[in-house]
Amino acid sequence: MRKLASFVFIFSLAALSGSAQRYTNARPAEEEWVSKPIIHPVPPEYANEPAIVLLNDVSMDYRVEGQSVNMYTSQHRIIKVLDDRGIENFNTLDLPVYFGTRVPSVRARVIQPNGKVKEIVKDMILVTRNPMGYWSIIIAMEGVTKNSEIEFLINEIHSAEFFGDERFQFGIPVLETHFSMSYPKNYFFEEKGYNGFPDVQDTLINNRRHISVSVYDIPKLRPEPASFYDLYTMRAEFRLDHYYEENATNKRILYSWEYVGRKYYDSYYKTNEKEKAAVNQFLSELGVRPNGNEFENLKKIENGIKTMISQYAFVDYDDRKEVLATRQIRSVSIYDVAADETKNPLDSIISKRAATSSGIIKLFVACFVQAGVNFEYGAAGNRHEHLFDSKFVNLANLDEPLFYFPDFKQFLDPVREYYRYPVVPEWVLNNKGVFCTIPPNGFVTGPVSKIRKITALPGSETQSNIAAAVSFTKDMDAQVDVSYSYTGYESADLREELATITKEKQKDLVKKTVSFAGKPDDILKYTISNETPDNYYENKPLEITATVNTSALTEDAGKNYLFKVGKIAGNRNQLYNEDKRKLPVDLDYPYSSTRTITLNLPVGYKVLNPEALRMHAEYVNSDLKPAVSFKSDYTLTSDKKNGDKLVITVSEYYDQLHFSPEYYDRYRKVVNMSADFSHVALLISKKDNGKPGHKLVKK
Amino acid sequence: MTSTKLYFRPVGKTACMLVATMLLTSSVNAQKTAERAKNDSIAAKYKDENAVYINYIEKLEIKPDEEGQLVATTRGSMEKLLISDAAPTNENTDYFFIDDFNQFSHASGVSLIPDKKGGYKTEHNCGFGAGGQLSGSFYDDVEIVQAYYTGLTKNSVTETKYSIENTDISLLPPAYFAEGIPVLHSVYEVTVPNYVKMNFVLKNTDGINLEQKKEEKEGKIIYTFTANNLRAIKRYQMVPSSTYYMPHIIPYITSYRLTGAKQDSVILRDINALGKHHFAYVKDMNIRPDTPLVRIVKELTENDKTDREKAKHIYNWVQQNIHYIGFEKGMQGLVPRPADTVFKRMYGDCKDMASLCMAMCRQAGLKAYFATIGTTDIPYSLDEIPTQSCFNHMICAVKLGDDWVFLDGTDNTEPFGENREDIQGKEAFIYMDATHHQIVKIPVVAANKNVTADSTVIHLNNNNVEGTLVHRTTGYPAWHINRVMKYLKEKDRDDWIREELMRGSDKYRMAKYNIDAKETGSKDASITADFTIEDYAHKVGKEYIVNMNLDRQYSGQRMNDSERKVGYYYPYKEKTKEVVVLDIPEGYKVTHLPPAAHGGIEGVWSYNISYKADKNKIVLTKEYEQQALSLSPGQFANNNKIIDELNHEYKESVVLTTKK
Repeated sequence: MRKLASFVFIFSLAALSGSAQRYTNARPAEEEWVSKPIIHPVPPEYANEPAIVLLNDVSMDYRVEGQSVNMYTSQHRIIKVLDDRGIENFNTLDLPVYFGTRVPSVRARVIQPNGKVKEIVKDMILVTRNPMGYWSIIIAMEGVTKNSEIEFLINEIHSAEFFGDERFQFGIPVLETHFSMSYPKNYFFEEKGYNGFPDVQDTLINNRRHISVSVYDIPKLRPEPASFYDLYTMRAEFRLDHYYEENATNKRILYSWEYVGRKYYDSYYKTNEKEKAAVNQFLSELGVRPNGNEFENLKKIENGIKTMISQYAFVDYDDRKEVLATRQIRSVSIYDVAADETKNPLDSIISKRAATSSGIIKLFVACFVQAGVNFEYGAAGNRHEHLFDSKFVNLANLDEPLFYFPDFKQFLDPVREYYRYPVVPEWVLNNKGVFCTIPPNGFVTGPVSKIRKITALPGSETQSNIAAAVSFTKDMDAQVDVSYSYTGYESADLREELATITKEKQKDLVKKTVSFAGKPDDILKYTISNETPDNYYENKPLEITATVNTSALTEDAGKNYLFKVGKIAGNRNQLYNEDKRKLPVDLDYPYSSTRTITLNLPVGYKVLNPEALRMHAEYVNSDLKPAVSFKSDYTLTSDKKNGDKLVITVSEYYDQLHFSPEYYDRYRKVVNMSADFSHVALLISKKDNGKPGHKLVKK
Repeated sequence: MTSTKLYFRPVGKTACMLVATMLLTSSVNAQKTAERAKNDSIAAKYKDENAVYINYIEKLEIKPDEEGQLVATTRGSMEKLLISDAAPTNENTDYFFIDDFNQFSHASGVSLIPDKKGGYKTEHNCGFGAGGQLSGSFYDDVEIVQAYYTGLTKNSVTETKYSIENTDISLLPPAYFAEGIPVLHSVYEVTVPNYVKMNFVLKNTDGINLEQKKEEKEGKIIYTFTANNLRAIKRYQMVPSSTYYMPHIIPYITSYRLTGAKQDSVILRDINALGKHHFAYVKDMNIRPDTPLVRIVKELTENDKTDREKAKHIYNWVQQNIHYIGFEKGMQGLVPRPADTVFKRMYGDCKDMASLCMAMCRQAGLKAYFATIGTTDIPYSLDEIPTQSCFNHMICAVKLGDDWVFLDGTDNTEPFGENREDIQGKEAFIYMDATHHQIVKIPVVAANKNVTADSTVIHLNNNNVEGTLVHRTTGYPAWHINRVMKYLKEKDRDDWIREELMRGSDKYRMAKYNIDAKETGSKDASITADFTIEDYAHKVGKEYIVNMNLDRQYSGQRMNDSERKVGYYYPYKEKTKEVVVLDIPEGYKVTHLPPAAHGGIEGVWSYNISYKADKNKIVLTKEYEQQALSLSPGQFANNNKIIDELNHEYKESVVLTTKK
């Protein structure tokens, strides 16, 4: 709840506040709890849980107060703790208090199994901050024993949120859930449930509209590997569809995708002459030729802004609010990028070489316009949490700013300084976003926004490859020249890490990459190349090469040797022990990999079990095409003079990102086979039963 | 976990918030060409770093206030040069710490932004934010104050200044001499009136060429400690805390004599002074009996014949019924709560549990006392530093006959009479009364009391291994399993057990398992399980190749950082015996059996490996003994050589060949 979409939400607030004063209503009565609580029985099926939620009741009440609309929220929760883990998970409460929130009342009590009630005295209800600077109300619950019930009720007041969500499913069962909204009759909210949570229409009662949802017995849901847990928990999303201004025009303000496009234009596209002049000078500094090669201009603008303009978080230190009515607090945190710096002139940004994220977006827009780059500005949401719902205009779910280039049909993330076109954060891929289609001159001839899918780059453009050549010392230690190369999304985290760490720390990164080296000294030398972000433009692979001399791969097997060749191919994710599955599998991005390992065997030696290298598994989709595949094979070339050569090839790809639980076993089979390869060990033996060949010295 | 104070940084105020200033208006176009040139040369020299502190200065001043009472103030200043492209984003904060005893007074920040003329322009572009709850306790007062700069560019310089009121002169904070980035010039200066006697304890300063100076002028003594060209501090694993290796100075006032006074006012001159000072925290605690407590003590002990039984039953009750919730705000971090309050709330921190144990034991007629102690996180001894710096934990000491038994309610699975592993060998400071104390060293548990005996029987099914195992533990390893029994159920417990017993490879699968352990009070715990490991063995031609080293317990214990100057610490001494029995498949005989091996570092750890075979089975026996709690840096090279040898032994397989 209360996750703000910083780039959109601020506008919707401003739009409402001007016309709000006529709808002044009395403050709502604060939610109360029963004075004599009862003890609830534990359903037998939940007896083995650490705790169960008996009641989760969330209400949101919108009131027009003066020039603004405030929101009175309450959360009432009762949790029954059933064992020591339950006690220790819930005998302290940590209730986050968000930016600009007042808390007129918070109460907590423990109902012991014998019915005795212990209410926490006010002095023991404390306010604190976490290391990030966010405020919390914290309460230590007194007298908690097994089968006690922990109850709290918190009432809060803060500026109204007209778009958002509320989650109702957790890692323990919830027996009774209520969600309600109440608002003036000239507001028209919609509620939509996801993952089994109901959709409800509002009802007009006493000149106010009400939404009320009750759900019983929400089962627990636990995270699983390779799943987007948040996406699949039961939640209610809410949105303001429209409202009427109560004035002479009785104007209807509609929150549609069109509204979003227009707001983007109003916020980021307008520049004055002074700004234009500064931008022109900046473009010439970047070597951009207006109306020159569009792609060259795009690259120069992005690279120029991201390397020359420092980005910083917006900090508003003057905004002080109260918690518990008595405690003065200051604006939450430096990590809150609330950031409406669109009013900051571009000439100032260019001169200072620094801006907040919104200032940077505005600069991008001006540069693209003045350079003649065809673009649309927009935003998308995190698909780990929400999938875009075109029929439910929830502005809170648009929080990742993006540019779209119609001429190239690709996207650019303006505020992540270590990303470059066309690589954008994986959490927006395959989701949809809303983009402003108003031309820079502002002459509207058609729709002002367009919904676009953030299409992922094909798996062939996101690769993680390994090429290794292995020879052996007289002790059968492996001498490996290995090269790791990464492209597309696979290179994003590494490139960002390499841009921010010191040279000293690079060694640690190489050690982590060369995972088969037994000890750091085994890595004799290494190189790193194409690590800077501008290499994304040509998709040049980030390469790490290393020369390694290691005994870690060779084991003694009597007169023979076991060579753990699979370790060179690297460790892979495995699902060996994850038998049961409730959630779908969701992967971050399409991906492919080839690994080529060349073994130069000592003269007179052979591999006894090369067939162990042959593996193949595929996941075939409904079109009968392989969407996920793993295949490994080898070729053996005999060479009596120089020694046999065994060339091992492994190819793997993941073109499909989503797998329903019923297809889990088929998916898992491929993943586990890939992991199996890392276990492959080759048995290396003398060919001619002890005749002199490669000189061996047994340790 | 623990709750008495451990100061780790200089510090400011919590309750009232910082009135932060952030003026984004630029001002002053100072010409600082010479300074710019100097800093540019520093940037060139440190081109592989993100940033460096040019100066990192902290000054502690102790002086009399208007009434003649001593007051202390710390003033700090940090001057940082941003060097890399990433620095304007990643090095745009400075920080310092505050708490209730070290209250925020003032802070300011400016930056110097390079201009096109080769100088700097000054920007007032700094805001301050604070965040707390750093200790992991439920409620604490330590906050990190961050100076946050906006609009920085490469080669900018930030200058942050702060001042802090040190409100308790017996709890002066230590000064640290290293940061996460290099520090070119670091100064710690302490100024006191000449009637104040100070002591300074220097820790881990051997490698930093610390210069010390003492000068007296105008009735003041000025102590100055200077270090130059300090490297960025590295963080190490397998060491209880960074105080084991971070260079730092612990200052404390031993005594002072005010004008006209006939004798010194003693603060922390020695252990006796410390005892007297700290007894004030507990002297009035639990004097009056509390009726509900009297009743519960009677119920718990009415059938007990010995004091030991009484103490045990009281301890077990506290373990089971009082849950740990830590408070570390101000004096709450030093003074325990009364036992009746803890009893009523059913929760408390270490001091509160000690208070309850003490009151209940005394109610039962036992000789019970408060005792403070430092866990292994604190590398100081009382002889060395007779201050609060030695303590971060409180327990209850009970005298049973001639023996001391310690009751620590914060661990709810350890049996009566045993001690948490992180206080082994540490000094318990027992407050007998206002003028008497006793220091008792907590015994270190011998290796043969912490024993793991793990037996596995395996047989081969093509390349798969199938087997059963019995994993028996006593001592600390057993109590870890008891904790799992207490807190984990269903899949969480299955996953933990599988992870704990995994052997061979990650293809280890457990068909079923059984745990024999109690949640509390048991010295032993055992687990039996049936398992398979797919593709573990190699059946090639006429041979079976099996590496019977299913577990390679010490393989990772190599000290790979050649620059590490701090020891490697083990949680406890222990003995492990691992037996693997391989059933020889019908039609096969043993054609290769690896040799026996042994090794180790005398007095630290050792291993012994042997193989035995007959017609039906091969038995691998591996025994390890961890005989010391730490390995010193001087032993690292020898240790690595032995680990390499052991790793070679781990790589030996047995070979079975068909008889035909």
